[in-house]
Amino acid sequence: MNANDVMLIHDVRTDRPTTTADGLLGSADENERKAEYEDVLSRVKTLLIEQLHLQREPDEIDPDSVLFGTGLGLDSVDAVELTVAIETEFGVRIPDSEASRRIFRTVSSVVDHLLKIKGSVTHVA
Amino acid sequence: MSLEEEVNAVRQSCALSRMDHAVYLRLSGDGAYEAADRIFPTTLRLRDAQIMLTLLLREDGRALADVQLGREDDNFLIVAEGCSATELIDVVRDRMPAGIQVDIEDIGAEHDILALSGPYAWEVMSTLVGPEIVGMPYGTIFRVRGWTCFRAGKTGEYGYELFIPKQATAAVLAELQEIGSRFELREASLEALDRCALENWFFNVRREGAEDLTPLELQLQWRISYQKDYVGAEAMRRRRAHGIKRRLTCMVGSTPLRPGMEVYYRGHSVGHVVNAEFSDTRREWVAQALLDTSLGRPGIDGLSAGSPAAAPSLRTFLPPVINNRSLYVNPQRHSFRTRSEVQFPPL
Repeated sequence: MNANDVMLIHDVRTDRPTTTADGLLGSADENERKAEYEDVLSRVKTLLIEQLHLQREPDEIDPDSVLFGTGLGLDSVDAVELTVAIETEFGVRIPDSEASRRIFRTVSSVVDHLLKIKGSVTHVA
Repeated sequence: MSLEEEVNAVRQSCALSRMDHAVYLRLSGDGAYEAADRIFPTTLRLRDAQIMLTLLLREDGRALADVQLGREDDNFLIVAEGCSATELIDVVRDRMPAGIQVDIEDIGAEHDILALSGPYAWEVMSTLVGPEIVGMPYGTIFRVRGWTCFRAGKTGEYGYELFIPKQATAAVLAELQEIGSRFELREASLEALDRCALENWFFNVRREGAEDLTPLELQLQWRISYQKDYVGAEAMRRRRAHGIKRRLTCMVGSTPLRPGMEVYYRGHSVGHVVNAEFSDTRREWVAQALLDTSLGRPGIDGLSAGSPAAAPSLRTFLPPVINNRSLYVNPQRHSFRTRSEVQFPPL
C-alpha cells in the first residue's frame, strides 16, 4: 500500500465506512516515530514477561496498564528488578527520585520516558 | 460551591464524598473463594486485607460493573459501581457455582460509604481514626473504630473509603466537618470525582463503560484473565483473536469536546470522543477517544473534532494529564498546616 493510501474499514459503532490511520501517517518521520514507539513498547513488554515473570502474553498488556499495586500487580521488589532490567536493556539510567514514580506508572509512561531520552537508548543485547 | 472548587479540593487539600452510587456486598461461607473465583473474570490472587480491581462482564464482553474486590479473612467484599444492589445480587446468584455454601449480604443496606480524597486526606483520616492509618498502602483494607476502610480511590490522590453503619453516619459527618475545618475540607460531588477520574485515567463505568466496548478497547485487559471461564469469557477470547481496530486513547486540546464527536486526522475520521471534560487544572479539554490503534500513542498532533474541516487543535497525550500533588506529599515530612512552606511541582 502506498503511504498516502487510505485503507477503508467499518466503524464498529456506526457501521459507517471510515479510515485507519496507518495510511495517514504519511511522512517518513511519522512512520519512524510509530516504529520506534512500537519497538520500545515491545521490548518493555518482553522485559515484564521474561524478567519479571508476568503471567501475560504481550498482546494482553495494554499500553496504559498501571504497573504496580492493583494494576499489573508488580510490587516494590519488582520495581527494583524492573529498573535494573530497563537500565541493562536500554543502556540508560532511571533517576532514583520522585520522578521515577511517574516514569513507572504505566507501561506507556516507561516507553515515553525511554523515547524522550532516545539518544541514549541502544540495543545492548 | 462550583465544580471547579470541588475539584480543587480534591487536588490541593481534601474532599469528602458520599458514595451513594456504589453497592457493597459481602460473600461469606465455606464456598466464598470458589464463588468469587467463578463470578469475577480476574485471576483471583488476593491475600487477607488486600483489594484488587476487576469487572463484571456481560455475555458479549461489555462491562456490567466496575468492581473493587477485597478479602477480609475468608470473606470477600464487593464494592461495585454501575448497577444496583438488586441487580448485583441477582448477577452474583446467577453466576454462583451450584452446590456451594455462600451467604450474600447486602452490607450497603445498613452502611454508608464515605470517601476522602486529596493530598492531605491522610491527615484528615489520621486525625479522625489515629496515626496508624498513615502507612497503609494503596489497595489494602483495615479496620478502625469498628469500621471497615479501604485505602482506595479513583482520583490519583490519597484516598480512603469508610463503610459507616447508617446510624453512625450523621455523627461521623459532623466529626469530619469539625476536623475538616482545619484542612479546608470540601464536599465533592460524583461529577467532581468523575472529572478527577478522567484526569487520572481511571475507568468510569458510567461513561466509557456505557459504550459498546470490551476490556480490549478500554485497555482493561489487566482486570481479566483469558485462562478461566466466566460470563463474557468466550466473547473476550473471540474478540482478542479477531483483534481490535480502535482503542481508548487520551487526547487533550483547546477544542470544546463532547461525547459522540467524530475525531479527524488529516480530514479523515479516525474515531470518536467517548468521554470529555474541561480540566480547570490544565486549562484545556481532556478526552477519552476511541481512536484507530495507529494513533494510540502519546504525542500525535494535528487531530481535530466535530468536522473534517475543523482546525487541528488536539493531540494524543500520556495519561494522567495532571501531576498529582499526592505524589510529592510525604506524611513523614509534610502537613497541611505547613504546605505553603514547601515548593511543590505544578499540578
